[in-house]
Amino acid sequence: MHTLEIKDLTVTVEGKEILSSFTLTIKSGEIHAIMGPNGTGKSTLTKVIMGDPTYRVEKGTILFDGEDITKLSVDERAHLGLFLGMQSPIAIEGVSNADFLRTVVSSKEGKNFKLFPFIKELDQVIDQLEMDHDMIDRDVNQGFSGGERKKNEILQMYLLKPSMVLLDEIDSGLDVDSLRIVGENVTAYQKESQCGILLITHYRRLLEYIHPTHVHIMIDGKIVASGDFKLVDYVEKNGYEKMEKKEVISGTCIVKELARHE
Amino acid sequence: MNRITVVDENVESNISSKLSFQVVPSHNEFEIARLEIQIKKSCSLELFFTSSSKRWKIVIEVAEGVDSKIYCYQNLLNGKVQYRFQIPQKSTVEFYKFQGIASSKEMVEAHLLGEGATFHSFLKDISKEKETLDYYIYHDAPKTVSNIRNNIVTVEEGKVTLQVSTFIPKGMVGSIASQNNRILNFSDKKSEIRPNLYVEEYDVSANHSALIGRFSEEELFYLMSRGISEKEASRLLLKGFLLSDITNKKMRKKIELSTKKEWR
Repeated sequence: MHTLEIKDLTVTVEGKEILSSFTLTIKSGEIHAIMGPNGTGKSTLTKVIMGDPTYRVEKGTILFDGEDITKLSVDERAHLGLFLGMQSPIAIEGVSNADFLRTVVSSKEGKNFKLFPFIKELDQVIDQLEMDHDMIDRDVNQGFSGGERKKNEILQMYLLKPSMVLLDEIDSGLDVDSLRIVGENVTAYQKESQCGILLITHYRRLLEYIHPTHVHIMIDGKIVASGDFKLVDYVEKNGYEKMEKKEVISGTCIVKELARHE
Repeated sequence: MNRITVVDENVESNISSKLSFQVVPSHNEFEIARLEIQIKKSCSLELFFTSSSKRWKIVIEVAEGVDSKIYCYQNLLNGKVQYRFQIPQKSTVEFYKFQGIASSKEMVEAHLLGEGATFHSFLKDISKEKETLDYYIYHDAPKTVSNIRNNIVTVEEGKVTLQVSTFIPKGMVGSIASQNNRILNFSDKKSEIRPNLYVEEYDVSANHSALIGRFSEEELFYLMSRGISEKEASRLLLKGFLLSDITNKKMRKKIELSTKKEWR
């Protein structure tokens, strides 16, 4: 059982506040979806949890299994079992995917790393994600389509076997088939590993494949409403406009609205 | 593969009939020794070039309609070298050069003499000393193509001055010129890039990019988020920087070995 606790976290970048007293707890087996308008701090949240040095933590803590990880380096957090599937995975010229993935897995396994089981697992996951086997010899994400890049993120997730997965708009740039493949594979991994998931998305479609146990609406760097899948329906119908008005920001208003719909 | 090895003024070769060469040695320290290579048919050539304090001029002439790949391994110490390429119509030269521990002055001159003449130049350089590199690319005919990509890493006392000048005179319509110059600076010295495009014709495509710096925070964050340490991530990025564009296995291996040696 693993727990990620974000407590009263305030984060700035170049003096501008992005996250404001943000609080959230995710446990193994839970899938938390965060939705919200553009520029509200959702991607920042995932990067801050992962330790991106671009952002400055002004106050608050991030705890993983009770240990304060706020000051840990990015790779130390990854070794604890955190994984971030990025919205725009970068391309690395000159580094083959094979070389990169081997370095990634051997960094995790250290002396226990064995090449043959690695290749076997890699082949299996590539098939599972319906990826082209040639991608393994190409440079990391270089010339990859949007779908290929996102599948490459999920491939890394499978190889690293994280216990807490952060997925930042993993559905952006995916066609319907790729969306299904990515969605089904994330769900399969979650069921198999019982990992916790924090999912950032704008669209209901992904949530039909990766069914969230908790849904949160984030506006101006904080959660303004939490609920279950019904909250997704509410947003789909009403948008975020009403929530942005101060008088309806409290979660109870949303609940009342929902009750009226029902 | 054809091979010519130059060590100071000693030249050895193992070549096919697709090319020929001659050496004009220098008679005193002020004279420039010349190596003249004629490529008559499409082929690949390895050129191993090691020189200390000698001055060399290497002239490479390519026949019409010939595609050639030249893999150059250069090790200069206080040397001066000048490469001159003469590329006629419908001919292509791909010039891959890897050099390490250089303290040198070097000039690369390419003359694109006929329609369809194409010059691709890829430099991979680990610089530990003072180095001056000058490229002069002349589009002397319409519809000619040049593509210059220089990837340089400075370490220890490495200090590089890189100048790349491309000339497209009036009338050279349909020509395409591209320059991409990057220096990863890990020494305390200041390096410099001077990219120049002298274009007198409107109907051409010409572009350049120049960058001096270190690895981006974004790249390091991505690799480290996979559990790779900062040191290992830097090594991987450096290797990628020097291996990009290089498909030849032998050259890749040599670059990888140097990277391991310089970046433990």
